[in-house]
Amino acid sequence: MSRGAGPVPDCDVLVIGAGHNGLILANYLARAGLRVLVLESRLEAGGGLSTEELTLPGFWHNTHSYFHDTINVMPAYRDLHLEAFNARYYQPPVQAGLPLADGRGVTLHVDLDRTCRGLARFSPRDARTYREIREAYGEFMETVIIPALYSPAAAPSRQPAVLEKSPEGLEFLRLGRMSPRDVVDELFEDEHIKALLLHQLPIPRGVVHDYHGLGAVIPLVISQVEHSQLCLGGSHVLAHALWRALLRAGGQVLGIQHVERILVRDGAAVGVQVRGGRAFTARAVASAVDLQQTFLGLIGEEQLEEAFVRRIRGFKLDEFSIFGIHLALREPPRFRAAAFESALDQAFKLDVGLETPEDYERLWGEIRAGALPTRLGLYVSVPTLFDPSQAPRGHHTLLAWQPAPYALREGGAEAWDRVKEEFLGQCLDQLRVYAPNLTDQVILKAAALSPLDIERKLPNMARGGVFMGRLTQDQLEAFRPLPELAHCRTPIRNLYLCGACLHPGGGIIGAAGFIAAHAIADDLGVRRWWEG
Amino acid sequence: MPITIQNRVVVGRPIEEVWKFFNRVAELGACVPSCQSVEVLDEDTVDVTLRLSVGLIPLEGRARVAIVERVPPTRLRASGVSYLGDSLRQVTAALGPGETESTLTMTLDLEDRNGTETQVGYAIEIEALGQLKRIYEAVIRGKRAKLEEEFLRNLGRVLQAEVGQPQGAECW
Repeated sequence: MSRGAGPVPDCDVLVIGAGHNGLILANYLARAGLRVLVLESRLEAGGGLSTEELTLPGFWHNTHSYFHDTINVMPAYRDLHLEAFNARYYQPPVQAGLPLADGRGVTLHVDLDRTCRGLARFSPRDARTYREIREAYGEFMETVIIPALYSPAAAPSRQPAVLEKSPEGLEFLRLGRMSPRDVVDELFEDEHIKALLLHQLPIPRGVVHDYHGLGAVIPLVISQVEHSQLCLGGSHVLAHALWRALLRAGGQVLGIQHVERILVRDGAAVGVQVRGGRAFTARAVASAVDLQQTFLGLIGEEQLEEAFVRRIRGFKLDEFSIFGIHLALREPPRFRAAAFESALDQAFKLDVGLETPEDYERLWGEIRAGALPTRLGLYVSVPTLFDPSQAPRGHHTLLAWQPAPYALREGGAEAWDRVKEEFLGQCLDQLRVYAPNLTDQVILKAAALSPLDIERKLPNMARGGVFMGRLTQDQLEAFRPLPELAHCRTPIRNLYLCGACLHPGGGIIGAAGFIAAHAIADDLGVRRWWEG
Repeated sequence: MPITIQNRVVVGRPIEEVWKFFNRVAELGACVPSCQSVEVLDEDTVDVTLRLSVGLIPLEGRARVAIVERVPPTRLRASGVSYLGDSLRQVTAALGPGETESTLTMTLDLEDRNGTETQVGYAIEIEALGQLKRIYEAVIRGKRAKLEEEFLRNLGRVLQAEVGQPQGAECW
């Protein structure tokens, strides 16, 4: 980028949004010797990495993200020495569980043998299949798929070109073309085992059971190469570590700076203007906020070609949002089904209510119709089982996410304010079917965050969508968010994207910001220090 | 930064014979780990088809390797480029120079042992480049031991000789 004879910009790179992707990008570039400034509209950095005393003093609730996959392989965790900044993790040995209303239950463990013993109680054949899938695809997932998350999206033809030469590769490609529902139906016979596997898809992957072309997520789930881990102290500790690391590297973060405009001059981004009128100039601007806000809000349609504006408007937002429930508890939930499968009371991620694939069909049918769900299926966790620091001694927090539509058929999104408390009650009733000890005496206080609350708190999550764009085949990899934007650069010179609207999508995996660092470092002529 | 596999072994052949074998570029190509087949392009250059299984799934690729240095009878160096997927000729024609996904350098240092045996010091350096760098590196690091084992097996087959155990494993 030419410096010309103009004034020195306030910084080399200005990052809009201090979510984890923006902070990761900022860290990499600051350590490369660039002057980096991050502007965040809220007081606190972190975006979805939010831990708050939502109910009672001393009870810390992770309001958006509570488990982080791929920490063990996330480049930023290692490169930025985040453990030294107090971001420490614990991996619960019982990764997932499904208690059933009939009193039985099944769990997934880090230990493959333990998992298979539990599965065999439902179907010895499925237990064998599970093991075979893990052995067949585990190495491929760990060695190819996981590194691919942290690489720029490859051309669409690459994967088929590499895999199509062998029967095994073709079979993997075939699985990949199917929906996850089709894959579990083909591979497994037990409906509950299928349901537990499908449960791992919507959260944190944003993948719905009937999304065609995403069948390969099932062997990924089974391979368990994404080790779900809990951030000790709460999810916000990761944001805090990133923030401190950035300051140590010489970067800056300013809060309560609501960017209203990206300044463009002669077709190039030159900085931003925030609420109140102050302008910050930069050699490059990187937006970690969502796609439509970046281009339609901060750039403005008048500066963009009409065809491009149409394509931006056409980018599909998340199909579902989340109704979040946060409980302060006198004691942890005790699942009736733990009498059958004791590991359920120690499971990290629990499926409460979605017992068969049909349950997913019904729930998503309701979501797609804008109906308040009656087929409840909660994503439940009790972080304090693994990290007692998140509640007063002997007490616990519980979080439960219920997938839900953003806009209700009757009343739109605003209707959530009216139905929120009643729906909270219905969700608690559902929870009590499985964990009857959660009486009013045990629940000290409950709080709920509706899809509308999510959008109000984090405008980046438009329509309450936590994944910043639907994860369907047409919006993945080299097509995410659009082919011409898939490599971070945009039609506006010196403007980059670095958020979850890019490959590989949402979730706390620290990939989009890391990948964007490569492009920006190259364009600004600085060495990619992290490559040695 | 490249990944290097470096070691030395003793083979049961005199140095002159070992040197003669390695100077046949087809034999040298056949030593490349995961080699499936070799096509000789000229006296110094071969195209090698590669196949590496990652779990159940084989990854196929191509490499073009050329002898770039000879110091008879003690040192030989070959280098090349590789690409996952289709024909290297098609790919290099379509992408042009600078678009390869990894570079490969193989250095062999030979030392006479009692006139009947030869110590072969080998250093295989693989550097992943470009968009798939991370994937290449993960595959190569994960397969390092297997790749070395294959190299030694190929060496023994090419030389038609017994190859001793590696004496000083170094990999970084």
